[in-house]
Amino acid sequence: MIESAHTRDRIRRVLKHVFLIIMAFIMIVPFAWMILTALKTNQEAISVNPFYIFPQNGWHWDNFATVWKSYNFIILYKNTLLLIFFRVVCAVLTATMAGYAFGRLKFRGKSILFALVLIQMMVPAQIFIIPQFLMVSKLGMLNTTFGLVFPGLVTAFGTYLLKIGYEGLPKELEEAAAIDGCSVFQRFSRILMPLTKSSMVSLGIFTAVFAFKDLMWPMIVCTNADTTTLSAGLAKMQGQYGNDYPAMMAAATLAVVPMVIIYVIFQKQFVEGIATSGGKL
Amino acid sequence: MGEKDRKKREERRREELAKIASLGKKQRLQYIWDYYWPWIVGIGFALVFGIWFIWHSATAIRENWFSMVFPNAMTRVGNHSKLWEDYVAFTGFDTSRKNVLFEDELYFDPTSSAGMNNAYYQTFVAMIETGQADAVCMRREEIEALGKSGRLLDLSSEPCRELFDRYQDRLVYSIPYDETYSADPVPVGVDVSDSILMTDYHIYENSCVYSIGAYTRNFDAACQFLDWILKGKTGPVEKKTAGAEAETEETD
Amino acid sequence: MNKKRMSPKEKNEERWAWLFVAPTMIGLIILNFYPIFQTIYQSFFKTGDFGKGNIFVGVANYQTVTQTAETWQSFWNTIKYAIIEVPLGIIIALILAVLLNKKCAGRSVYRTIFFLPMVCAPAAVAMVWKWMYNTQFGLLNNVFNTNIAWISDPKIAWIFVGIIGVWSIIGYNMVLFIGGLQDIPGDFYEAARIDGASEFRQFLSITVPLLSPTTFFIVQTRIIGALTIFDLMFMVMDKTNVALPKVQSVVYLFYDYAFIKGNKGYGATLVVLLLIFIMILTVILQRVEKKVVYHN
Repeated sequence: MIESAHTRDRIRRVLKHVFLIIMAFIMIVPFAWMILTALKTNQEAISVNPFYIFPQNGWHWDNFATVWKSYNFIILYKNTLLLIFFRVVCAVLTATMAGYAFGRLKFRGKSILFALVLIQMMVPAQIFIIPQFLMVSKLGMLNTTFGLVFPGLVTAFGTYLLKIGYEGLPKELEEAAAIDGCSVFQRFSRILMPLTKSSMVSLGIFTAVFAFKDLMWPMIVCTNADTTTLSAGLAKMQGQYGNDYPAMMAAATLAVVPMVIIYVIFQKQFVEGIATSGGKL
Repeated sequence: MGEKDRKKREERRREELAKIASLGKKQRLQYIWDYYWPWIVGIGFALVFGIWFIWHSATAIRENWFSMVFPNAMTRVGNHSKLWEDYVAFTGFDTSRKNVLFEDELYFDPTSSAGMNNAYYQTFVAMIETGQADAVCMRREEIEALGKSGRLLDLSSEPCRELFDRYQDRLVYSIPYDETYSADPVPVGVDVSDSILMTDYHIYENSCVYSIGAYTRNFDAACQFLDWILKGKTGPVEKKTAGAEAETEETD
Repeated sequence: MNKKRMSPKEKNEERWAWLFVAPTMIGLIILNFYPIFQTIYQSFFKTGDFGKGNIFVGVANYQTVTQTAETWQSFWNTIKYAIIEVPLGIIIALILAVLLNKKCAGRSVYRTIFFLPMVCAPAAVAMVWKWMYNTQFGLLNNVFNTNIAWISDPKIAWIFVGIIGVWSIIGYNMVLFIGGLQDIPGDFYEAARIDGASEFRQFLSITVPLLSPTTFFIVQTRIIGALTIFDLMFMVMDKTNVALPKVQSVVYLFYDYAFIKGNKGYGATLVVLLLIFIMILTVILQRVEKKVVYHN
């Protein structure tokens, strides 16, 4: 009896890993492709033979060196990190507050205001580009970090996400706090906010990824090479190098590395999140 | 009820202050941080952001003397390039008061729809539609294609009368996508293939056409720039070599 | 008791609430609602060309747009895309998140790998998929020994564009699901295990109801996201692709009119119609939410 349960468990575990490995393979292909292309010659990179997966004429590590030298990556990294930092702080700060109000408090006009939050998400982002560009140029903030951060000062998506997070917490927490004489703000800051850590971390990750990937906006507001971000800088490189795919992919790989590091750090927060909340509740 | 409530709150505040005062120095800081850190972080951040914003907007240059884009340029003619310096020296514009902007890092191909599926093109559209760019220089066939969208100024319209008369031998026409404006070709550009842009700065091969954006904020500066690059040439474009001529004919 | 007059406590709560939503709402109004109103306003105008001002045309744009077959085709294309992307993206992500929520070997490695598509350069993603789908030299046709025009056959292209969508969204959904799973208290599972409930049983009676707010959130945001799809098509579908009319989404069509042809009024009309369509769907979804989603 025990023996068979044990085998069943093992089979299940193996199946689980087989599934995960297949999925992981599917997910990693473009990333691996990016790195492999970066190591090829241009000729190999544009050949369409599907079985030329690996570089045939030696591994061209020098593609990375060329790209690194030809662009000021330090400044691009700095600008990108600044953009990510400000966007994440602004998004988490405003969305936490608004999410708490929408999720836990009663006030007049709540449903109308929340409808506005939803409507913002329903509109294709392309219609915001030109009016927001005009605002930034009228403020004289072209080619500044503020100009970069501008559309991310508030977030409808984050507000919705945090609202769900606050709604999910048990009612008893707040009732007990109210009896203890906690004010609205204390209930928020001392009791409820720490429990939505995982929502905040997800929002942080999303904001960081969107800020990192955003190509359009940095290109429009920051035309200077000194003020632009990695993704926009790389896009310019695409114009400069024309169809030099290995150079493009080497640059793209160099750009992704810090993002992966940030994610790994955040992910640790995730795991810690389980340890603490699982024990407390 | 309201009165009572306010009193209660005041009482609580006094208690809180007394509590803080009763603690030791280190404990006090610890206590304040423990209970009020969201306030401290929030207000601190808002303060830093506010100061930064005010400082930036106080020092920012909001207006342009003249702003121009050179998509697909083959040589660097952006800000602080030789062309830019020469232009500023010629006009005597004070660049610490208003900007002179030359943008040369845009790459798109208006002659094919696929060539407009990129972020550079969107940047260009944003610049021209908001009037952030006053004028654009491109190759002849590119301007002809670009003009179809109606984003370039119709040179036969009233404000451009003078320009139209002076450069009538050099006009470049474009047929609008939208026939309600005009089914006939509209003059949208001035051929400047023999201007200093080509002879001195070599920004394009074969041909170069100058167009003013439909939403320009600095029309006079745009006209002045055109006169400056042409240096008084008004007749038909002087064709230099037979080879170049053959090329342009082919693309037409 | 007394509905009209609020108690001071409620008044105090309301004041706090307004203070809390103020930054977000002010930001949204300036950054987003001003452009939205501008778009709605523009949809009643014929865009002025060549420096001529806009001309008021009333509902003429709406008449033209609704009478064009292309418009309805693009709406249908968008819906078809959503039908593929939303359910598949959510189900696969949920399975992955549940598998990775429990301690297992290599958990953080898997999580990092599933996250990679989110940060991969869009150019690399487009290149890889185009290479895989290439009719003559593509990996898929070579491996399966077929001769299928995956993304240029008008009949089937929408399916394979949808699959790229699923692929690129799994990471996002998974991160959200993991966040939601984390908020489920561990002792619920503990109690169920003591009662001898199987893992599948635990999934149905604990995970599904307690995760339903997160699931609903993902469904809601992904439906909106899928209906406003643009970037993916922009990257993968070339203008010369013969399948384009059967694949292009509403926003793609909007881009074509507003950005390429310079007809902002017409483009704005398309966006307004899309907005109305999504709003109707959202109202229906919110109704469903009250019945389906578990609230404690």
